[in-house]
Amino acid sequence: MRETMSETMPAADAKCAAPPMYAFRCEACGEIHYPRHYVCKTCGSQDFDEVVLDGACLLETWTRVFNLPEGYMKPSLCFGMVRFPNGLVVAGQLDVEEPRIGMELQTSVGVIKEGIGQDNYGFIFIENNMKE
Amino acid sequence: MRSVGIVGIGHTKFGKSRVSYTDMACEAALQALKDAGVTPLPGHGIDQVLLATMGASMINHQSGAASAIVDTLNLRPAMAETVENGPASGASAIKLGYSMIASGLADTVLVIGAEMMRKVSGWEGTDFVATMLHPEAEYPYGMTLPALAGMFTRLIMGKYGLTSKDLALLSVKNHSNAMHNPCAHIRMVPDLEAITADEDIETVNPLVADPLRLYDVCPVSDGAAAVLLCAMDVADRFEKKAIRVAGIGQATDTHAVAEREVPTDLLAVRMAAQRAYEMSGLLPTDIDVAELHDAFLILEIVESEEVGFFKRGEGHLALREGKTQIGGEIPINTSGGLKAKGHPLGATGVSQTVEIVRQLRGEAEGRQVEGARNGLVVNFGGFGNNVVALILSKDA
Repeated sequence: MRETMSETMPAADAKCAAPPMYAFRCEACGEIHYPRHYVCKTCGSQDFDEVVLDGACLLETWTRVFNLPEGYMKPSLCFGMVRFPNGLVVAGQLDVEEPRIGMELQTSVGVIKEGIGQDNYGFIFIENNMKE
Repeated sequence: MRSVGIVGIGHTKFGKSRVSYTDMACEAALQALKDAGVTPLPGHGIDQVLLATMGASMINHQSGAASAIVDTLNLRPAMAETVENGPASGASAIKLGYSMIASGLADTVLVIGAEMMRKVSGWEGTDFVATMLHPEAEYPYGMTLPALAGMFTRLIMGKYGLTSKDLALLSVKNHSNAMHNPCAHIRMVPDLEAITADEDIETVNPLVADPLRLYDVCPVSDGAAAVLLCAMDVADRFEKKAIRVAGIGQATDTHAVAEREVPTDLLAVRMAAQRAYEMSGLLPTDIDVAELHDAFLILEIVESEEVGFFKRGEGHLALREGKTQIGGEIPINTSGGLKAKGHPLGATGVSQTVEIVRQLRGEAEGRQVEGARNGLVVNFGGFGNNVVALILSKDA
């Protein structure tokens, strides 16, 4: 069963036609995990639902890195850890001009690394332009 | 369970090696054997060789490297294995060697840590190190160890008031210690004013992973180190007095750093140290000298709190007061630490152990902690997801 995690939040900015990102909710106790675990951290159950991970989030910390690994044709990349309203914290790329801890961001899914024949998709957190 | 000690040590000059991977590992091994008075001829008495490395297969295209090294050293028919646990491979190999001796499977184990990282380009090396990050939640994003350290540092700065100037001060301390260590990779002391001055900082000390700058992170080094472990009940076979391995602790934490309940804690460091203290019967106040894993300087500060030397959030205050310098309350990273001595991944835990043995023997010329009896090693794998702590003691 799949559902969106943030039904009351505005939908993610359609940065590209990318597959959604999922968190994994324990069917037994409701604990939400990201990334995937095979055994629930709280109750030990092995049955999980997929939950779309999208919507607004808050920036917890960030960095800009200037020495990137092989395969990233950019002078630098910005990364951040964000907190979703349910408390889940995840890391991803950050496409924000001037990051500030505590700022509200919007979740998007985009190409995080170009590949030969197949690109890699993942979280790119962007400024929340939908905010009132 | 049998007691285990260290009777031989070896250490190459860290930096950029001009010899092959095998040659570099053998150089450290032969030093350790010579130090113990062992000649590698038939009847040498070495039961097992453990080679700690993270990248011999990936970077040097040399798998099963322990077998090659045993043969090259003429230590056949000793048992041989390669141990891989990221940057904590070295201390993990010592732990495994300890276990073999304690269980009675071996009397003597030669542990060699060796890494040759300068063979490849900076891009390839950065990618190789990053492969230890979470394979779905971190690595595919282009995240690196410096990226995680940068985000961690920003959190610590916000929570406890640590500043970039504190990191620069720490950099100067560790580089100053390395001036007295002939095996250190970088033997120069940065000028505190120059690396913190606002007007030219992007040239002199550029950002690596904001807020971390060049002088806040370790260099990429080649190097090897070795220790000869033996059962204390056979230690009189060797020339040097044994330094006892008094305590070993190890703990793991979440692989994805974002999943940690308290993002400013290094839980695995705390648990590994606690286990080592319990096994040794010693307390943090009994430790006279420590080698902490400062691949990023922020780690020395936070680890010094997690292992019980200082209260949480006060590690940087202790640094400012000179408590962690030689002659201070608890000298940390007398070798220069990973910051200045260098960080050849698989060699690091063994190198840290060599420094503590030198200190406890009274052989750390120019950087000796007077009267040191007990020393602590913290070898940090991943970004704290697998940590090994060792306590060595001069007392039998």
